[in-house]
Amino acid sequence: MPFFRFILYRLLQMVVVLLGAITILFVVLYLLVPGDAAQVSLGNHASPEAVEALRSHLGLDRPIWEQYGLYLWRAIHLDFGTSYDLNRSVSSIIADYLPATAYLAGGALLLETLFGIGWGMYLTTNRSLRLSSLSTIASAILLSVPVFFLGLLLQYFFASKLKLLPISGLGGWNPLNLVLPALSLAAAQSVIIAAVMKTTLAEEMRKPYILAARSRGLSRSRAMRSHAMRNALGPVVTILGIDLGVLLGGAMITEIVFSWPGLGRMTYYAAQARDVPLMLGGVIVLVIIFIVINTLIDIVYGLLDPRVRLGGGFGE
Amino acid sequence: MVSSQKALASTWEPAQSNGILRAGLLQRLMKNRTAIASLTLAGFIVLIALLVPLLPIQDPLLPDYDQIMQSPSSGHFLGTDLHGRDQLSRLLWASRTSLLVGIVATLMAVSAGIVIGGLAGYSGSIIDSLLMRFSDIFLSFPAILGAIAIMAILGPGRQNIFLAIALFTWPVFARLFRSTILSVKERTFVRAARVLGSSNMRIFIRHVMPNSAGPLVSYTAMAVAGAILAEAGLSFINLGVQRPNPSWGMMLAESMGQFEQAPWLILAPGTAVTLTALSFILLGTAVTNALDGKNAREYQ
Repeated sequence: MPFFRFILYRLLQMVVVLLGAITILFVVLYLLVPGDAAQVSLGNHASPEAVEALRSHLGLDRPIWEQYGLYLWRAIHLDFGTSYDLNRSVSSIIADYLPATAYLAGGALLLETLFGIGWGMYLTTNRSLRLSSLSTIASAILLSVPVFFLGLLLQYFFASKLKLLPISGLGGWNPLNLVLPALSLAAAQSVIIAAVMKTTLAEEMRKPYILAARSRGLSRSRAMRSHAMRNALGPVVTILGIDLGVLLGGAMITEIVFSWPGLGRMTYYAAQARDVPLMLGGVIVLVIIFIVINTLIDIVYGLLDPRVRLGGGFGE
Repeated sequence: MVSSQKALASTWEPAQSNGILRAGLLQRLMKNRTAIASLTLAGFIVLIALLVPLLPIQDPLLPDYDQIMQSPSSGHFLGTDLHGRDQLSRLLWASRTSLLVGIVATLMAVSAGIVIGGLAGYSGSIIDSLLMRFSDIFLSFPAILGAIAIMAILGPGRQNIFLAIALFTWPVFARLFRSTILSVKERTFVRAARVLGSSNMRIFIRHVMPNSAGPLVSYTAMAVAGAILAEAGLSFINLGVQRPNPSWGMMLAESMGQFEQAPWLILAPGTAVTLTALSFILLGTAVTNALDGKNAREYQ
């Protein structure tokens, strides 16, 4: 059963990557930090007794491999300890902030999919030198604008000047509030989608099956929409999976600009307050979401396209 | 930011580059208007950054509370910020931070990529697959998220930024060198060199490096842009350079609430980051296109 083996293989790979990612964070946190994590998180004014209590609570007085085992065991159970600042379990705090981030990332993903695929299709149908140079320059500019600068510009024009859209906040899940943050988050990524879409679609359009469809009397655009599109979407789906990570990471900055009550902004405040468990929990959860979704996309992609699962799982 | 550059690099496949550097990459670039424009812009920014200490500008750190948030005038060409510091001189000094981070972090990533990718490609078998799985782990991280986590743990400061950014950029370069080595390893001219007694080091420098030079240049330009954007992002969320040293990202963050009253405080640093990143991204694109003859014609 090659397909079953493919799924098993991808799941195994996911576990390895997850373990690796969590290990990197552990190594950085425990080996590279100058001084003592307990001292750092309590600040310099804490009493020695408090530091000592936290050290034993965190298991910092045990040998390093034991600490690692404990840390791993807890991470597997999504137990990231208790927030120093809010005195609540980290996982329950994360559960409170996760929906807003998922909403923002979902909105951005939708925008970049529509815009990227549309742009890519438009570039494939209208091939002119001027359009292609114009699109290259526009793409490069969108890739160069930092997400926070774009966000501030959008706020200035669409909220302060034109007063078309709300300037910031979740606004009680009002879809209008989602437009500006999702737009600034999606801008750079949609350029990449458009580039991939254009390349793969143009490639598919040169294949014999399109010639066959055309000779049966289908128009160019019809052949593109009903035949080439289906095959060109595969790589786009893969890129969308990678993008989700960029969205989750970029969401932190976007959430700060737009006062969005999500996981990114929470992690940022945790980092500011030196609330190590909360910050680390936030980052780990974002990374886990990213890795799990990418694995799912790979498996779905394998379901859709037999060439992937028969060809083995390694990318390169 | 860093990842978008990574994703882009992986979508634009480097073309066959057999000694293309020697066969006129420079001449081809010089025929390309985008390449000339981006090289000029990047060169200009680098030149300014080098000359800043010699320019007759005010102290970027000196506050003047009698002159806060002044609009641009002949005394302060770009106005003053919330602490009455001269915006122009802060902007110029920040270019040094930005370029330094962009270049040093990228150089670190390239060196790590040479060592790890070289080792993987050269030794093959189990070491190869172990090293590649290891690089997969770093690639599986959303780069900016990883950098934020590292900075939050290590605290602000330049050295930490170098590390945080390079840590998530090296796998791209490791893959590049590994794949070049694999494609060159069994070729006749490398076998000949080996028979003639060339050392591994010599083969690497004489044969592997020139063959990866084309994509290396375009990846490097993209990585510099990515690192510059990452530094701006990190400084924006207060996890970048240490205050009060100026950084474009931090300048934006400090005046974030002042867009209405003092738009120049937002527009100047924002435009500076965008233009700097743009010059390197266009440079990378131009090199990619010059390597690929088909596109080179299309975009000239």
